[in-house]
Amino acid sequence: MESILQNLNGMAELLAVARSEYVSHWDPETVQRAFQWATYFEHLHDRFRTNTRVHKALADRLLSINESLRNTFGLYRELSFKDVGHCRGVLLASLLSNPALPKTLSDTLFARLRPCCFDTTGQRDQSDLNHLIGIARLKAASKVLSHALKLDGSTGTKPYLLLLDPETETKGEMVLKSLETWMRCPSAGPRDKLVDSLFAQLQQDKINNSSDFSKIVAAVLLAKQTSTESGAVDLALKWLLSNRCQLQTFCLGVPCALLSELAHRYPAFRCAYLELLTKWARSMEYDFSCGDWRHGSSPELNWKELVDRFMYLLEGPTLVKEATETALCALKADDGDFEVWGISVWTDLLIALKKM
Amino acid sequence: MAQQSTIPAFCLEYWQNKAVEWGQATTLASQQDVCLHLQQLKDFLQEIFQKLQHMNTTAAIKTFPLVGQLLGRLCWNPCVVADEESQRTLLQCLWCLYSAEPQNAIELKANDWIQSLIRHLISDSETETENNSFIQILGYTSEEYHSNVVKCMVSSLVTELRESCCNGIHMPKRFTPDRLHSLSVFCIPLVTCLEAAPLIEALLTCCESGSGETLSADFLKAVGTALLQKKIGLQETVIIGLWLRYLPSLENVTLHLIETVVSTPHFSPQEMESLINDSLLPKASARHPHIFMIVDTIFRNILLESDGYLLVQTLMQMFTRSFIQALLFGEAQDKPPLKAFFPHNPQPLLMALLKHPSDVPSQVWPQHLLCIVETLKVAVEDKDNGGSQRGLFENWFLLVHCGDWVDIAAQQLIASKAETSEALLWLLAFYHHPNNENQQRTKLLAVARKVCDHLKVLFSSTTLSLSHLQTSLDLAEANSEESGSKYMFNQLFLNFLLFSAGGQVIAKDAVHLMTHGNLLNGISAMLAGAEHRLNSYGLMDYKAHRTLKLLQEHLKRKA
Repeated sequence: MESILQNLNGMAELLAVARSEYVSHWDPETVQRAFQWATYFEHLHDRFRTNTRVHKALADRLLSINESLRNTFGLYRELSFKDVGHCRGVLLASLLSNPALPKTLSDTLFARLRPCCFDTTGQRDQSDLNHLIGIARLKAASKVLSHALKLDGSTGTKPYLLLLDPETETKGEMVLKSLETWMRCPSAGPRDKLVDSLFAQLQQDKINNSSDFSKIVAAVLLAKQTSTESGAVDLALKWLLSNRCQLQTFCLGVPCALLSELAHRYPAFRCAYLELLTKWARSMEYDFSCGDWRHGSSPELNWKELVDRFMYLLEGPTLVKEATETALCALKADDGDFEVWGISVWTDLLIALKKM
Repeated sequence: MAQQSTIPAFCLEYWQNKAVEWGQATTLASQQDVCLHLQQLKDFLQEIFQKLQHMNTTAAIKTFPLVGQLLGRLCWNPCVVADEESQRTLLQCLWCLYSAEPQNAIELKANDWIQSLIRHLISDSETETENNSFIQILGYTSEEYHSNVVKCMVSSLVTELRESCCNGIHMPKRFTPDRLHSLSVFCIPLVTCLEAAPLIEALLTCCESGSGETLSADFLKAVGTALLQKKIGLQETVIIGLWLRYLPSLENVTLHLIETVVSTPHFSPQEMESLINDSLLPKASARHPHIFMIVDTIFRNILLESDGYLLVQTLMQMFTRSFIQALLFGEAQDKPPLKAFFPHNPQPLLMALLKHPSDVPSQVWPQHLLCIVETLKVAVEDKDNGGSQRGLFENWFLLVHCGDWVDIAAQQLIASKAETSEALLWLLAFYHHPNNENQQRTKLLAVARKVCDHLKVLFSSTTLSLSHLQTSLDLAEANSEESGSKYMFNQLFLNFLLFSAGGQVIAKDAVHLMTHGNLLNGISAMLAGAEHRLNSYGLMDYKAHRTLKLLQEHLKRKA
């Protein structure tokens, strides 16, 4: 077992090098050896595919390998256990897209992409080519379907379906499924830690695009296919609500209609969301010079946004609507129950909302 | 649309212009246009490939200067790449233009360009950095990711379709007929995509809006073709639904069945039966008289065009048997009456003929055959209905469907009593000469009677020599100008050899004389049929089996 894990190290390094500038030193024998290794790993994958214990061990090792190699190599391509099953295809693609590969080698490799009917040497195992062709075809299929989805359709009763684009929705479901798989594994650590580490990793990955990450989390919470016993969704929700700052970023990055749907599904979220909005509104100050409410420190938390969010909540399902109304009225009453503009933020909110 | 039929199949310029047009406009309409032209484009690419295969790059570029541009543009079009066949042919064409050893500057340049194009097509999908790290953290491959995206899109479309189609009268349909049509057009490249299968099925099972067909004909055609090539699998009810709404697909399946059977003459009866059942035609015909009529019409036409070709007859008989079984044992909702399937044949004749020999005990066969002959005679000689040309043909055609009985009749003939023999002879003669305008049937009957009488005399004799048969053989020979008559006499002789007391000894020589060394195939087929009957009807006739085996081996050695 230990030797297999060592070899796994070697494979990961091989694939990492294949994407780096070190390939400029490669020669035909190296390429051939690389493909032989890749074939060996594919056999390995086939052998251990059904053995969950070994599978998990290899997958875990890969996670740690990923981390260490990520720091060493610039353009590192993370590896998963299933990639091992398509090792040759991955290797081929990595080498071909690497500009540092010498031209002669590149040309030889390119010949591997030739469809079999040309081969006078008889049937060659073209699984690497077929794997790559299959991916290209699926990508094209998703583009064709996105055209089909854009066809003019009247608004359905579930607006959020149209708000989550298929890619984000898929990502959310994949995250959920992974989570559920890992939670079922007996050697997994405490579940909270699992969720924390996973989300931390994903967040790190999308560090440049936090709104994307937020949308993915929303997709996780709204996923259609969940097995309720696993409790994965609850954990994800718990994670989201555990950190104030996190929740705020989330609420800012996700479209209002989605938030309204989340408020409907998860009472805990509804409370937290309303709290957030309350806090936001409370920190607003009335600016007499332009007759508008403003937020002191963050200009992006503007009046219009606030009104919009409350509006979506009020237009949402009955429970949400009632809860919001009750909250707003209560807050207005607390503040003195004014009917005049400019004194209490709650009064003004209710006035603005009534206008719409 | 009228424009499509007048375009010559091979027109590089036309397709070049099309490709430019598609590339420039990224509107939904232009993408739909690609899908509508997809089949023609595939045919065109296949033709180009055939031509390019035998040229080197320089010659190719000289002959088709625009081909590179065309292929390049097509590579960027998702509707073309999504379809498995067109993607493959596109790649093959590109590879034709690639030279392993470039001879001049043009070839070098072409190589570079093709490399970049193919890299874009193939390897970029695996190495794109946008989603990669995300996918790998979760432990998926990029193939799984893209497959899941497609599945997600498919499932939301399927949900919308299901909700929209099966609704009450008062709810507004979310899917207008226009949108349904456009959606079906977009599904043309996705017909063979595994992940899109639920969407294809949902489209096909979507309730009809009533006035005309909403789905695109090109889409239905694509599904029909994919089914025939066994590239996709659909539920039986969905397939039958497709046949009902798009007739050409039904016709293609029937023709394909006939072609397969005719081009492979060595099918065993079991193989043919499973081929017929796999095609789903018997089941579909049993549920829908409409389908049965169409399939039957096709069989008729082929039979008449091929002048009663034996394999087609056998196919028809087996089809009828499967069809009747499907009718009898199928689900009991609204079973159409027999009259719905055979409107031109009298009920008594239907009841007599459509009972298969294996469902009638063999002791009862003589009586049943008499019954058949009597009802048939009544139907055919009835001046009001059957006497007409049309009635005659319909009843004869029904007999062809149930040709098993004719074979049984031939088998029973030699050993039968005098009164029965007359009837059986008439049946055989009618089968081969339904039309008695020039008294061909009467003539044949006369000769056959003589031969039969002669053979009957020899039937129980244990010591036979070839000379005993000589007179009959000569008589048969003299009256065998038409293949039908020849067939009939061969049947008589063969049955005699198999079932008579002394037949085994002279079997080989007799067969040799009968055929003069030719037409062995016909005899082989007859023997195969006899074997099948002996096996299926449980007739324990060891002697006949032995003679049969003897003859079959003899013929095999001769072949």
